[in-house]
Amino acid sequence: MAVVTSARAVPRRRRFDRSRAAGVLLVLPSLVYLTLFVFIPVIKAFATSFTVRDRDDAGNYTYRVGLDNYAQLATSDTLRANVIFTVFIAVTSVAIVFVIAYVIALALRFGKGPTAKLLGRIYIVPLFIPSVIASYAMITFLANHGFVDGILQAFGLPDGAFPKIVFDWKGIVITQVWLSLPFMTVLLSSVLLEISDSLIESARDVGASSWQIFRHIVLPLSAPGALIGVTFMFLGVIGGFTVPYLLGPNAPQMLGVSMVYYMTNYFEPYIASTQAVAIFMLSLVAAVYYVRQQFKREIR
Amino acid sequence: MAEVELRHVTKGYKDTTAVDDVSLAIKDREFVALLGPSGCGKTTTLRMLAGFIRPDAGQILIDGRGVTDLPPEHRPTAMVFQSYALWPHMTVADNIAFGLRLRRLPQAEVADRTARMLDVVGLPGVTKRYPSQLSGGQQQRVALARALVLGPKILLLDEPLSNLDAKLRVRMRDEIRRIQQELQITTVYVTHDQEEALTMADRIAVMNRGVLQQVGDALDIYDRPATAFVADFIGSSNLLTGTLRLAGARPVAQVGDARIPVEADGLADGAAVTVSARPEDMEVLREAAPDAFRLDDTRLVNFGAYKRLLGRHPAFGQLEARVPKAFRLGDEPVYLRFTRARAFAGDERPRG
Amino acid sequence: MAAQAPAMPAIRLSWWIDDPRMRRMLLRLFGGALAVFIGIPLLTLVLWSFAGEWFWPNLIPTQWSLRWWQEVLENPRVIDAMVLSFTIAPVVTFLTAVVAIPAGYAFARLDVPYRRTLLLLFLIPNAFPRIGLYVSLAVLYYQIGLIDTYWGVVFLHMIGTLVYMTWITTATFRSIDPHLEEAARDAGASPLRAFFSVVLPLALPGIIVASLFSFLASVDEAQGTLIVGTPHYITMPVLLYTLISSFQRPVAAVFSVLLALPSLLLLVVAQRYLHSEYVAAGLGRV
Repeated sequence: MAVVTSARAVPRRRRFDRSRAAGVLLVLPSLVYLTLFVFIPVIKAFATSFTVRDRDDAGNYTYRVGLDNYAQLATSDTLRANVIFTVFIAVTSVAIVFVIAYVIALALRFGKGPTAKLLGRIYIVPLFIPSVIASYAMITFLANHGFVDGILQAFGLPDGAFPKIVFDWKGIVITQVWLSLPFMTVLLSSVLLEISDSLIESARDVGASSWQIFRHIVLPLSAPGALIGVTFMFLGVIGGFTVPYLLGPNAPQMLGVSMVYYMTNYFEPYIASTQAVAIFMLSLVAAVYYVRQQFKREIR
Repeated sequence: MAEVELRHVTKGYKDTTAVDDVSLAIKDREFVALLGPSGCGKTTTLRMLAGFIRPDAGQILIDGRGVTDLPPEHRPTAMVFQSYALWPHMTVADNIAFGLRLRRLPQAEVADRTARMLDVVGLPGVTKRYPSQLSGGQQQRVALARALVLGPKILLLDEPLSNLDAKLRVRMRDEIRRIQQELQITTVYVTHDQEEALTMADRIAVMNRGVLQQVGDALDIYDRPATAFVADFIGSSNLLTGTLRLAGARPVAQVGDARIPVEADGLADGAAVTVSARPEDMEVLREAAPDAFRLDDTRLVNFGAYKRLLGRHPAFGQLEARVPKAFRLGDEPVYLRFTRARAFAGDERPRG
Repeated sequence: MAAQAPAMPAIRLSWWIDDPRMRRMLLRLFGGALAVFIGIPLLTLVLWSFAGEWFWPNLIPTQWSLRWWQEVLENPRVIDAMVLSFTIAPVVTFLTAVVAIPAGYAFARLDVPYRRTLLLLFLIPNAFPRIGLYVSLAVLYYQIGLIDTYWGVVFLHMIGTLVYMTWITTATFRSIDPHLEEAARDAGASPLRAFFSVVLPLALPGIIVASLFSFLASVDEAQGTLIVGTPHYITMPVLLYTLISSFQRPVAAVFSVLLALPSLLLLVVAQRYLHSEYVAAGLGRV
């Protein structure tokens, strides 16, 4: 009999692992970059938001730590209105995009024929249009005396009766919807693709109606993936500048716009940083959810 | 000359020991199969031989020279992967010639050796094709050619036939064995398929849960299994747990209130044992006899060339015997006698 | 076994709306509305760019002309912006690739310590609203003198592209069978040689797509560049801000078409290779 047995004579030793060293070395440059250009600025923004600049009688600046910037954000009617406006715009546009994108995704997933194919080609287009151009296209399209106004005139709408869309919240929302539609649709489509036909067929087999299948199978199974899209878009809208800058009203402003004004026009980095922190805080729940879900999806 | 030796090789992952203190010597020109269920550590062992994994402890020697710390590119081994791992962006010729070109051989020699190797594996004239244009069996041959073209001292094969259909598997089995004989190359072959191991290898090393169970030729491990695991994994066995009794004329295993005569080398009286008996070592009787046990709930399973008789015994549970294909069940009771049973230390039934 | 299989229920996945005719009609209506909503605004821009005269409420220009194109293409500010955009984007793409591809490879293949934590860090730039990040960065730039510099703009553009490319390359490298690389090592190739002979060629499609997207993201980036690049580093989209705000409608339209061209070109080219995951992973470019 040739059983090979032996006492465990050799102690375990951990050999130096070249793979680990190489891994650290390869990741290091990107980590250094992220630290310098993302983490440090964010941390500094937090610090700056707690820094208060006072001017004494002689005109010299003195600095101290305090909550004055936040107090100003909370008490100033303009700034408070901006915060509320920002959240309102973000929630509204995400909700609208979600519904439209879900319908497109359902059509792409379950529909056949030329219309579904056409949908598949159109919805992706805005992805390739920079937001500045999209905003401008929407201005020419929706402005008073714009394209849509012109068409309605042809159908007998009296001049001046066209509602104010551009330079109003409606313009921001419509443009955000236009811009975010492809992303949300791609995401929802991939989520719906993960639901196998057999799940739906077996539900049909036991006699579920279309609505019941949607309600009890498709919707719950697509919810986690869909929420990634929702949070990501929410973060995008809340942190957007271009669209509200070009299409938004002068007051209230979205935080992105007001922040940049404070930064470049009034040179108030303290208030600007405070608004940046406020934006981070506003989106914290969404951010945490987004990171967790995305992480679960991408990394096993 | 190409001998391989593993000395106390151990490899652990976070909380499991994949390979536990394995020592194994492989002779020149020998064909050794590493056999075991999935997760038994056989592939880890092979990958340590190839140099893809460093052992936590122990040494690997090729021709007496330590290679434990050598990366794969500096080892005289060549591996055939389960997935073949043919480079999809290179033609068949480029796949085979890759290693030759790395060694900066003249163009003519590269072409010559590539063509010759394709002849050896029986696949001439496909040099210009891409791997995706080949069938599974052809890809397998190209993978073999790519491994052999560098003239390695050791050929390593990782479940090379598991992606082929049953018919082709048998053909490739013979083919690989023929090529190995022709080239006289030391070969280590990993498989979970005992038939492959039994038919191809000079010696078989059976592994389970990281531990080398037994090394021997086909006859050794089938007829003289060293552990209950080997007895169960090679072929199949009825496995029972009981206590060894050496008081009588012959050793017996006490299982419940029944006693089975067993072979028990070097085991002490009262030891907890696992009893293993092959279905072909069960005698089927139509009437009661000494040492025969009555079976209830009997039924027959047809395997074509033979049948299996399945039944229950109150003390043993399910038992299985091999019977001729003409065997029929009547109304009368059926009895089983253990003609040959073997006791192994430990009352733990082996787990895959 | 049943001798006769029961007739299969009609599962043509026509479950969303039960009546097929109704469904088809609704779908067509929806598709048409979507096509109008997405297409017409863009078409209006194109029309404007060729309009010699367009008095409202006419639905098409009353007079066609190429003179706005000529005016735009001869405008030195426009030329400067184009040159700047197309000198920044390749640098951004190159630097991003140099930094992100090794990281992607390490995440996909190597035993990086604290891998999960590090990957989490790579999601942070996506998890914070961009404009907040840019303003914070601008504050820092003022202090260290990177504001209104070429490299300041390049590094800002890299925030989005780096995260995107790291994720894409990680996914790409992970999709390549590690045995292919091992087979090369087995044949005698050094780790570097195996990477360049086997892994890189196989990863190239993914890397090219990611690079194209990074290039476009850099060309199209407007809001961050506006904050840290003015007044001396005016890229094309930043110039467009000014053009739009100054109400030169045909000029802005011409410029928009010009700026959209590279992206639309990519849309046509990439549609075949466009894996939805690439798109989904990288949409930091809203």
